[in-house]
Amino acid sequence: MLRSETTGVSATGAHAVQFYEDDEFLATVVADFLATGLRLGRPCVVIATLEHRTAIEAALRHNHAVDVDDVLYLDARETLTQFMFDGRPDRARFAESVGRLVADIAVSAPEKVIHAFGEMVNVLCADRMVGAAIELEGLWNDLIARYAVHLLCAYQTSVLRNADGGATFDHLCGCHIDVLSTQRLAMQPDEAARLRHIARLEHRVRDFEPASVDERGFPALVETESAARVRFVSVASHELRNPVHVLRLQLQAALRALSIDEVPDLSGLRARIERADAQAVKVSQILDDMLMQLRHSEN
Amino acid sequence: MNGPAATTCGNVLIVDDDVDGVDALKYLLESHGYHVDSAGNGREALEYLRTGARPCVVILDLAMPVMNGWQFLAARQSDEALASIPVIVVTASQPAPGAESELVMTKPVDLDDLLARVGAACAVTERRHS
Repeated sequence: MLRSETTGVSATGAHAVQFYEDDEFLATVVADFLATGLRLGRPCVVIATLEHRTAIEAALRHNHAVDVDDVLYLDARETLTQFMFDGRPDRARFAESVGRLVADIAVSAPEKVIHAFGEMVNVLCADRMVGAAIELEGLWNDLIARYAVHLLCAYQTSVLRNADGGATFDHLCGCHIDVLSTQRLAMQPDEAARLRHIARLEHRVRDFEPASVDERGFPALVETESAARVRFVSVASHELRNPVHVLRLQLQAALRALSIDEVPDLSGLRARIERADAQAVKVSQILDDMLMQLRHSEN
Repeated sequence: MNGPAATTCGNVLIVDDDVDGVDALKYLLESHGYHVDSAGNGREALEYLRTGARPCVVILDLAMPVMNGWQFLAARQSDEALASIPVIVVTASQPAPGAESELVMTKPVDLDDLLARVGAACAVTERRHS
């Protein structure tokens, strides 16, 4: 496996993630990743914010003897607008925008692995749309299955909340083949220092684990199930609020019409009741999904 | 339903991508005397406001395509001409950092409460411009 000289970014892996704390570190990692691709004559694509694009270009110029103009840059937010719909990435629109771009590059550079860095997922997380980011990772994985793409993603640790016992973080890691050394680990000077760093972290984590174990002696499992239940209730509550909100508004509008119109508009009332009914159907579908998931988890 | 007395003036902008929700809320507000416009996402709302339209209050959903409510709030805050327009955030989510300074209502909203808050926001805006 080829690896870049300084950061450990895999050149043969398909989908890696870098968790980082500051932009300078990120720019170094991405520049190393791109420079590896450029030296091998591979097409390179960056989908980043303007601020990070500037930092990556500067790191490429400063650290590597490569032509920065060979990198294709796209703005992360602008690209998101091409396929986000109703707060989620739309599969067909993603295929028409990012998918088409990758396909075009693959046709123009056959037999070449595409090096792509993308941080649209980080932009989504910064906007508190972590679920959408996880869906987007899935769409990228579908693309990677079809084309020779080495994708590097990055998440700033400060945008990832840890209110669910780390379940979301685990899910994000699970979307990737490689999780690269975190910034603090990568900054350790040698292997001994890295091992001390990991030991120190594990020691601190013990403070957050439950003191008692269940009859099976599995404290971590108890914690994980509890976090999963909290997350499940939270998501279900959120999903139910929207249709219940519209259902109530439609019924209140119908009642209002009955109370103020001397001659009620029956077709208008019928339309409102039908719309309310459609929302009630949505509520029952969500409840069915919830029950199915509960049964699945119990099994 | 015991809403506030009908208001003879007061423009309200609803920013939400849920057509059925917008339709019902628009009817309810109009039946209480408000003039209501709507936008399907944050970008449409900004374009509307940048035509010079000045609603007394914006009723804002957060989860929307193209430009969500948080992005709209950030854009509004950075635009001096728009920063003073009151916003009522109506959301199924927990209030976000960008929305902390706004009036936040959780779905499903209590209509009387929403009407009272719209009325109060309109009164403040109208006093400011009189």
